[in-house]
Amino acid sequence: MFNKKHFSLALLLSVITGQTSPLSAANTANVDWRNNRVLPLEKVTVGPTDNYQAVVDTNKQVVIYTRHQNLLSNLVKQAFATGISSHLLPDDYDSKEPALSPDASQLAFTLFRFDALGDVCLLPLAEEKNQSQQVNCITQKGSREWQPFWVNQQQLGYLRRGFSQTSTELVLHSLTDNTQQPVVSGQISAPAASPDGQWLIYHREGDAIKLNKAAKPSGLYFYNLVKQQELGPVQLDLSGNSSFARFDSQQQFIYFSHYLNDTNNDQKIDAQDHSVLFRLPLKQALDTSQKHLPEQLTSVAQNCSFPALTHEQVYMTCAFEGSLDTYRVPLTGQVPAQWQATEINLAHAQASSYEERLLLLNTLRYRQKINQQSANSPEFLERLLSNHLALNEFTAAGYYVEQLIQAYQLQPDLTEFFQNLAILLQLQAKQRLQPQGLLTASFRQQLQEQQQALAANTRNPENKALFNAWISYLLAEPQTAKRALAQANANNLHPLHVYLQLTLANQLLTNDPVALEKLLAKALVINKPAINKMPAEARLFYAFQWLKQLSHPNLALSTAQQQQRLQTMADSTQDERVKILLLNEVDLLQLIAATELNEERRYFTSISKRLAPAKDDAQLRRLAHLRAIQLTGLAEKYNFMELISRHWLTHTQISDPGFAQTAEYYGSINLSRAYGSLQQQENMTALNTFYTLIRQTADPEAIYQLIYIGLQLDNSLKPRMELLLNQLMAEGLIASNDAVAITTLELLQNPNIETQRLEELAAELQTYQAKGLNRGAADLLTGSLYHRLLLKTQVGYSHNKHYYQQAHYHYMLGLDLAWNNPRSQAALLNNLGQLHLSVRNYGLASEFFTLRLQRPFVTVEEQLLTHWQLAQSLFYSNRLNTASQQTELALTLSQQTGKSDQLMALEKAGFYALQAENFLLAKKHYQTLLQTKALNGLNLTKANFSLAYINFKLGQSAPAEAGFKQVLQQLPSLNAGPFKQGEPPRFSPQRLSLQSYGFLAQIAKTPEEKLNWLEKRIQLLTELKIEDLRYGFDEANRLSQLIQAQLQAAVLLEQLQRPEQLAKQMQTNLASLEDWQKNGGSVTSQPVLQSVYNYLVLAMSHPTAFAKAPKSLDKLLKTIHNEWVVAPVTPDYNQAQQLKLSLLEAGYRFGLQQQTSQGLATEIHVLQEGANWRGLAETRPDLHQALQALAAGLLDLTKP
Amino acid sequence: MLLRLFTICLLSLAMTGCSGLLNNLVPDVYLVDRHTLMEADAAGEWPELDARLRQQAIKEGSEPYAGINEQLDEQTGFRALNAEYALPDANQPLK
Repeated sequence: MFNKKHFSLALLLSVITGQTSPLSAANTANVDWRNNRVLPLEKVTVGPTDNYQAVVDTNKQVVIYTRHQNLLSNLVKQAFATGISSHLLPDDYDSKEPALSPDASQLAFTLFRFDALGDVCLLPLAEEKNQSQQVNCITQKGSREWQPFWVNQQQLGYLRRGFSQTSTELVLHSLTDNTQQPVVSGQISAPAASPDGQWLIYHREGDAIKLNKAAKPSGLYFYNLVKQQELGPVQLDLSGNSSFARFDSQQQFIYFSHYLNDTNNDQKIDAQDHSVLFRLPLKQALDTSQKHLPEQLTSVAQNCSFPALTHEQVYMTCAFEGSLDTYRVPLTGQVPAQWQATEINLAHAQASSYEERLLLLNTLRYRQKINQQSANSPEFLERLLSNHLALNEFTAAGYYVEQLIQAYQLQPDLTEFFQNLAILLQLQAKQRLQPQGLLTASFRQQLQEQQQALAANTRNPENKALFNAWISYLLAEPQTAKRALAQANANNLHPLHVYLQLTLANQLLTNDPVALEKLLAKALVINKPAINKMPAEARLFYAFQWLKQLSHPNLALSTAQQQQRLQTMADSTQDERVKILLLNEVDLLQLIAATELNEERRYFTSISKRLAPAKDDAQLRRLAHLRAIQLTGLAEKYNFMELISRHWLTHTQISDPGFAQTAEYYGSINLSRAYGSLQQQENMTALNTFYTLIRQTADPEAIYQLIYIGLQLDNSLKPRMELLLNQLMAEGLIASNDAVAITTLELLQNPNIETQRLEELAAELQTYQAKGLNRGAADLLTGSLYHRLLLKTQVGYSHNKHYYQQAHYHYMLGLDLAWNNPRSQAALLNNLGQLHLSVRNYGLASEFFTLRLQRPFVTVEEQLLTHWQLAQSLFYSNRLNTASQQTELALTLSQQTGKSDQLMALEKAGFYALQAENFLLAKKHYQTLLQTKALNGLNLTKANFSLAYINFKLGQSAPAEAGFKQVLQQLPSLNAGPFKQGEPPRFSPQRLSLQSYGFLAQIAKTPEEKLNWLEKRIQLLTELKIEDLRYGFDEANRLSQLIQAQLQAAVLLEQLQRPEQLAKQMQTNLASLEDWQKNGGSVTSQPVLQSVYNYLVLAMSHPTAFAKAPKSLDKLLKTIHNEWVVAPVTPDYNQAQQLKLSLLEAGYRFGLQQQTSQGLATEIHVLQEGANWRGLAETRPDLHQALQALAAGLLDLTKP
Repeated sequence: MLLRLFTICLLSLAMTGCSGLLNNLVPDVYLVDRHTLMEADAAGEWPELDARLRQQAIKEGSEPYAGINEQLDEQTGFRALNAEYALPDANQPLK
C-alpha cells in the first residue's frame, strides 16, 4: 500500500530537492528535453522483411524502397502518414535499386524480369494502374546493368559489365537519343551525380597489385564531367573504407557510408562490416592533397548505409533490429546541431554506450576542429582509442595507436608501449579466428615469436611485464600471465597501461577477489605524485569498481569491516569526488542496515546533502546514484530505490543533455517498482507509483496502467484513479484530450466499441505526440485498435488488409521504440503472433510466438496458451516435430495449472505427436487421455478415431478395427456445427465415416469384409450432396473418391470371381466418369485413365459378363485419344499414352472376340512400325520398353 | 490367362504412374488445406479455451510482470561506465 512511510519519504525528497515535476518545469523551460539528447533514429519502414535503398518523394510524402522477401526483391511504395505500403510492380518483377528522377516523375531501377543479369528500366510514377505495362527497359539483354542514378532529367547513369568481363564501366545514357557513353571503368560501385550534373562520385576498389605505377588505391572518387577528369581518392582521417556517397541538394556536403572496422572478423574491411554515416564539405572532399576529418552522423551500433537526402533529413538503411529498415535523422545527424563542447561533454559523461561516446567524441572533434592542435592531441586520440578498445575494435584502435606512436616519438617508453600495443591488437584480431577453445599451431608459433621479440627489444620493464602477461594469456598460460602481471607494479604508468593491466586482471583473477581488490585500490590512490597521471574520470571509475569489489561475497567482509576500509580509503585520498563516492557508500551501508524510518531518513539526507556538488558533475552524479540504486535494490528497499532515482532526476537540469536518459532510467526503475507492487497485490501503491511516474515523465505506459488499475483490476480504486487523472490534466502534465488516456478509458469501459469509434480513436492515436518518453506504449495501443478492427471485420478466410497492415506497422514501430522495455516487448510480440495467426501467416506467427516465449509471463496459464498457439503455427507451417515439442512443454507446464488445462494439454500433446508421426508417444497420450474418462461427445469420438488411426499405423489391426467401429457407432449421435460460406470447414460426421470405412476396408481380413466396407463408403459418397465446402472437398473431388472406391471394389469382385457383379460395377464406374467430366474433370486425369484401363483389361478377362459394352465407352475412348494430341507437337509421353490405349483397345476387341488372333497381331505390328512407336525408342526408351512389354503380353493372349 | 491379364493390368498401370489400386483411402486431395481438415477431424474442440485465447489475443498495455533485481544490471544506466584512459593534457583540453 502507498503508506504513510512512502508519503513521508516523497515529502522528504521534495523538501530536500525543492523540486516537483520536471514536466512542469519543462512547461516553462525553453528546452525540448525529449530532443535534447543523442537523437534516436526514427524508424520509417518495418520488418520482418528486409527494406532497404530508400528514396524519398517529399512532395507526395512517400518513400520508395526495395523489399526483400522470399528470395525475391520488389520495389515498394509507402506513405509517410499511414505507413501503408504496396508493391509498385507485379510480384514476379524482381527489382531493386530505385532512383527517383530530379522532378520525381519517373523511377529508374534495376529489373531482373527480362534479363537475369539485370536491366536498367524506367517507370513513370504518375500512372497508378497497369504499371507493369509502363515499364521501359533502356538497356540490352546479355550484359549486366545496375545501380542507376540520375544526372539530370534527360540523362541517366548506371554500371555495366559484359557477360565475360571482369571490369565494370560507368555509363551515361541519354534518354533523348538513347546513346550510351562509358565514362570510367574498373572495380566501380555505388555511383551518384551532383545536383548540377557536373560531378560524379563513386567507390573504386583499389588494384590488388600495388607494384603497378598506375594502380589506384581504394576509396571515393570524383569524376568531373566538364573536364572529363577523375579525382581521388577522397582523403579521410579515418580508418577503413567509404562507399555509397551522395551530394546534398545545395552541393555543400557529400554524405557517405564508412566502414571503420572489421566487425564481421573476416580480416578485411568491406561492405560486409558495420557501417557509419559521415558527411564532409564538398570543398574539402575535392581537396585530395590532405586528410580531412568528416562529421560522424550515426553511431556504429546502428550499422547504417545507403544515405538518401531530402532538404531536412537524411534517410538511410540500418541493420540493428533484426532486419534492414529505413530510418531518418536530421541532416546534421544524431548529435543535435546546436550542441557545442559543453553539451557534448555532458552527454559524453552520461552516454550509455561506447559507440555513442565515439559518436560524441568524433562530433566534438569535428565541431572544434578550428583548434586542430587540440583535436589531434594525444589526449584526444587516447580517448578515442579507449572506446575502440572497450568495443574490441582492433582495426580502428590500431589506427589511433599508429598516430600515438608518432605523437610520442620523443618519449621512448611511451613509443615502446604503443608499439607493443599495436602488436597486441594484431594478435587479438587473429585470436578471434581461432577455433573456440583451441590454439592453432601457427598462431601459437606466432605468439611465441612475438614473446621472444618482446624480450629482446623491449627496454622498459613495465612494458615488458604487461605485454608478456598478455601474450602468455593468449597462449592459454594463465599462471605465467599472472606472474608477469604481478611484476608490472610501478606507480607512474600511463592510464592505458593500468587499463590493460586491470582488464587482464579481471580475466585472470576471477577466482581471486582479494588480489583484484588490491589492484583496484592501487589504481585510485592519489597520495603519490606519480599517480597524477591517472585522469580524474578514470580514478572515479576505479573507485566505483573498487566499491563493487569490496562487497564481493568471496571477500566476506562484514558491514563494519567494509565501513572501516571505506573510511580509511576516503581519508587517504585527495580526490574529493572519490571521497564523496566512498563516504556515500558508508551511509548507504548504514541505511540498508537501518530498521527505523528515522534512521533511514537520516542517512538518506546525509547522502543527498553530500551529493549537492554532484549537480554539476555528470559522472559523479551518475556513478553515485547508480551505486545507491544498486544497493537499495539488492537490499529490497524499493521505496528508497525509487527516492534515489527521483533524486537523480531532480538533480539533473532539464537542459542537461543527459536529462532524457536519466528520465528513461527513472521511468524504467519505477515501472519495475510499480509492477512489483502489482504482483504483491499492493494496488494502491502501484496506482500511486504510476501516478508519480506520469508526473515525472508523462509515460503513456503509466497512463494506461493507472487507468487499468482503476477500471479493471480494483474497482475500489476507481475514484482515486479519476481524481489523479483529473489532477494530471488540470496541471497540464498530460493533455485534457490525451489520446492514450481517452482511448484507454473507452476501451476498458466498453470492450465492444463500434467499428466507427475504433477507427476514430485509432486516427487520433496515429497523430499522438507523446509529451514524455516511452512512445512504444502508444504504438502498442494504436496497433491493438487496428487489430481489434481486423478481428471485428474478419469473415472466414478474408480480412481487411488495411487494418492488418496498420496493426503490423504500429506493433513493429512499438517494438523498435520499446527496445529497452521488456514488458512492452512481451505484449507486442504476443500481439504480433496473434495478428499473424489470425490472418494465417503461420510462419511469421511462429517466429513472434517463439520470441514471446523467451520473455517472462505473468501467469503460467498465459505461457501455456502461448506454447499451444506456437504449436498451432508450427503445425500449419509443416514443422510438425517442433509443434509436437511445444505441446510436450505445455503438457509439463499444465501440471502447475488446473485439471481442465491438463486434459487439454494431454489431448493436444497426443494430436501433435500423431501429426509428427511419433505414434508411440501419441498412443501413450491418447490412452492416458481416454483413461481419464473425462471426455465425452465429439472430443471422445475424435480421441477414439485418432487412437484407432495410430493403431492402424502401428500395424495393430485388432484395436484399430475395434476403434474405427466404435467411432462409427458414436458418430450418429454427433452433429456438425453450423457452416457459413467462406469459413473453413469444421468437424463433419460424414467425413469421419468415410475415413473409417476406408480404414476398415484396408484392415479387413477377407475380400468379403473389405467389399462390405467399400460398399458402405461408395454408398455414402454417392449420397453426399456437395453444395459448399463443409466437407472440405468439392463435387469433382467427391467423384474422384467415388471412382477410386468403385475401382477398389471391382478388384475385390474379381478376386471373389463374381464377373456379373464386376461388370455391373465397372459400368457404374464408367457412368461416374461422365459425371466427372461434367464437373470439369479431365479425361486424361488419373480417375478416368485408371477406370478405362481397368475396364478394358477386366473385359478381356471376363468377355461374357462384359459382352455388352456401355454406349459411352467408344465416345470416351475417342475423346481420350484426341485429348492426348497437342499442337504443334504432341509430347513423347502423350504419344506413349495414345499407343498404350490403342494396344489395350486391340486386346479388348480380341478378348470380346471382335478380333482374331491374326488381326490382333497385325494391329500390334502396325502400331510398332509406326513413326511414333519407333521415335520413342530414341527419345524415351523407358516408355518404349514399357510399350514393348505390354505388346508382348497381349500377343501372349493369342497363344494357346 | 488370368495371370497374363494380371501382368497386363500391372503394365497398363505402370505407365500412368499410379501407385496401385488399393492405395490409401484417406482423401489426399483437398480444396481446403490438409491441416485445417486434420484439426477438424482429429483435434479436440475446447470452447472454453477458445474464449481464453480470444481474451488473450490483444494486449493493449505492457505485460505487468515484476522482476526488478534481475534486470537492474541490464539497464541503460549501467552500460558504458568505463572511463577513458588518456594522459591529461594540461595545455589544450577540449572541455
